[in-house]
Amino acid sequence: MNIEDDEQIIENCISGDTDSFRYLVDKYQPRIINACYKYTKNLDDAEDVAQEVFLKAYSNLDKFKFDSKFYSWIYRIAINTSLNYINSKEKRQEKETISEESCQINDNSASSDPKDYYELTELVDKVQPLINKLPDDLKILIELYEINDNTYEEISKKLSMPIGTVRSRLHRARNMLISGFKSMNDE
Amino acid sequence: MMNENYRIFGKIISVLNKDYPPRVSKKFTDRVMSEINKNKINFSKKTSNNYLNVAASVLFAVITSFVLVNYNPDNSNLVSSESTVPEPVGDNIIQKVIEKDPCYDDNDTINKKDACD
Repeated sequence: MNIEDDEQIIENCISGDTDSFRYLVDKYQPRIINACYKYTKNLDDAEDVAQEVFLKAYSNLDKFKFDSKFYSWIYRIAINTSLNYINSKEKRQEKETISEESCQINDNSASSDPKDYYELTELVDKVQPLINKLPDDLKILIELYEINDNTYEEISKKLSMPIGTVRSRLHRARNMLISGFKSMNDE
Repeated sequence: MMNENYRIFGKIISVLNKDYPPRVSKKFTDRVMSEINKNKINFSKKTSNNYLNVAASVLFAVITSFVLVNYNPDNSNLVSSESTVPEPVGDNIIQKVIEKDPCYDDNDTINKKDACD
């Protein structure tokens, strides 16, 4: 049940456990795809660009400096990759003319089977009650770490709390959210 | 199972941050991981390549130092010996110049005197 820290997962990947990277992809795929979607304006393209982002992140994982959060680092890669994609797409469009055939391809991709996708919009009403159920000390930690993007050190200073305590309480908060989410879906 | 927990937590934090696309492909992670495994990106291989580059640089430095230390400066004698050898002077040319000098014209005694005084 325990969710490992990003830093631990990265260290495992660098030591040769390639499959650990799957956890980071699972955890950050919605946010990275959304970052790319803001630029591509097309979900299929956004997924292609996001795939490239994760590949770039993996191949440069040994260059990741542990003084920043993994999400901040991969987010910058996502923005740069999306901008490169837009530039190359604009160049392609200068050379090509839009044909009826290409429009049909877009229509087909838009009507893919809904069973192959997670619908995230319907989760909005489910997640907030889970947060509200958390004790106040855990709720504030989730807000500081996962929403305000503070590091463990920053939270430790802000709340005058040892880093070890911040880590263990965040683990507890995450586990409570996950088990709450699962039991909500079972009902 | 562990994987499922990360996926759930990813959904929760994306919704909390109001940072989510309308939908995400269920096969996205598998696609990324199969690409990673296909390309076989290996960090230990990268490190060994770095060591190889360092070893090549050190070898180059050693060879260069060896060549510089063993350079023989006596080879420059060849140049100095060449410069000390006097070049043969064209005696005929000097003779011709002397012959044409009016001061040395034995036949024309009057003009010789005027020209050379």
